[in-house]
Amino acid sequence: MKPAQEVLEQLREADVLRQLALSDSGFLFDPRTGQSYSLNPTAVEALEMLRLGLSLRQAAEELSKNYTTEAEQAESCLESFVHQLGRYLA
Amino acid sequence: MRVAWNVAITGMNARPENPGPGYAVARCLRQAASFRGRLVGLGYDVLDAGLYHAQVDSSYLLPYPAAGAEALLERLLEIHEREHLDAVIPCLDSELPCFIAIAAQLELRGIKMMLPGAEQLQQRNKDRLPELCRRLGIHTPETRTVSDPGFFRSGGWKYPLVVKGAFYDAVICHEPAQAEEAYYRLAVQWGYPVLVQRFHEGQEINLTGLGTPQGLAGAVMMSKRALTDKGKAWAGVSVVDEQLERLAATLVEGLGWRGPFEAEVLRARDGQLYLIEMNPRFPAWIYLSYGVGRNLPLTLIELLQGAPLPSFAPLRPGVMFLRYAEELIVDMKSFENLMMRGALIA
Repeated sequence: MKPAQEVLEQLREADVLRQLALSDSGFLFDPRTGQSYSLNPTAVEALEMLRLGLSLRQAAEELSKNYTTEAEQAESCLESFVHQLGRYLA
Repeated sequence: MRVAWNVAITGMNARPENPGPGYAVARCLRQAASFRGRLVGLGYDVLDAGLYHAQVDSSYLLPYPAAGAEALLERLLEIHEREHLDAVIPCLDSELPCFIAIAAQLELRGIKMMLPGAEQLQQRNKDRLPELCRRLGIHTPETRTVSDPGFFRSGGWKYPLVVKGAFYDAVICHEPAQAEEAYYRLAVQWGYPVLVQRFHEGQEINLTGLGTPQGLAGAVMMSKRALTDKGKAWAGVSVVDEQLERLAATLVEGLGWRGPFEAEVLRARDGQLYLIEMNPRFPAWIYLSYGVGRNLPLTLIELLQGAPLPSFAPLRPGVMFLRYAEELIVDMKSFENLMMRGALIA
């Protein structure tokens, strides 16, 4: 399995993250494929950070502050989320 | 530009599982604020539902394409005497050769169409698509014609594979008996050749647009979200795929295509685009072009009137369509008129 940071960079290089339409309700629409997805509030927050250009580590640190959890645990969850994004959006 | 033309449209069959494009084309024109003309429905069967719809001003039956170009011309000129047609939009693959053959004679009588030439039409025939794609550097699944159903048991191709009719219909087959059954059914229904195509897993995305002397115009792209048993879109959503748009532009320029078309494309799991078919007409989902602000049937009529290419609205991803079935109440007199006289005149 590719490292999550590499998956994230690939999504950024392919301009996938910027094109996504993400609403506050968690509705995510991919305008290239027409597929739509439903995200929970934490995933919305994480995806917004990734779209702003934060690295996995930076996003994990922010999430750990917001959810009072260990940065390592947040990073591990974020990595599996990025792998999911790679599977569905790449 | 005010559009006050009398426009005849074919393909008014509207069976829910596999509707023709004609009625959707009619709705695109009728709902355009600038369209003030009459709409004339042309069909082949007295049960083509679009012929009875209130949005169509009058309707006529045509001879089936097998009757040939001369019979079609004769019938259209009869209709022209009453309706004073300005344009015809043919919407079915199987009738295109006849319409192309009589295009010049119709033009002489003031009836305009926007169609490719016979050679362009043939180059995108299903059995010649691989040759076209090779020439233009476009990927397409390997395809071959089959004249002996023994092919399906020869072990030459692995399953699943796709068996396709000459004009319409495709069946994904998972074993030889299923492929043989599809082969015989498609041969009876659409004639030869029957084709077999390699199956690729992926997501289908379709593009419709107009081929013009300036190249591809007004592309609208759609991803299917729900299918009928025939694999037709029951729901879809507009998408933006620059790679697909480039592929379509290559097709239009490479063929010198004129008129409406639909490119059916598969994006395989590895990201590669494969051209599955190029249809020489508007698709049944053309009403989505109205929905995204790029009313292609209206643009076609405006171009036939000599207007310059419009500046199209920006592509709008995320506009959905959902198809539904409804019943039309038809009085026996209307049915009788269409059946006995081949005409339903308001």
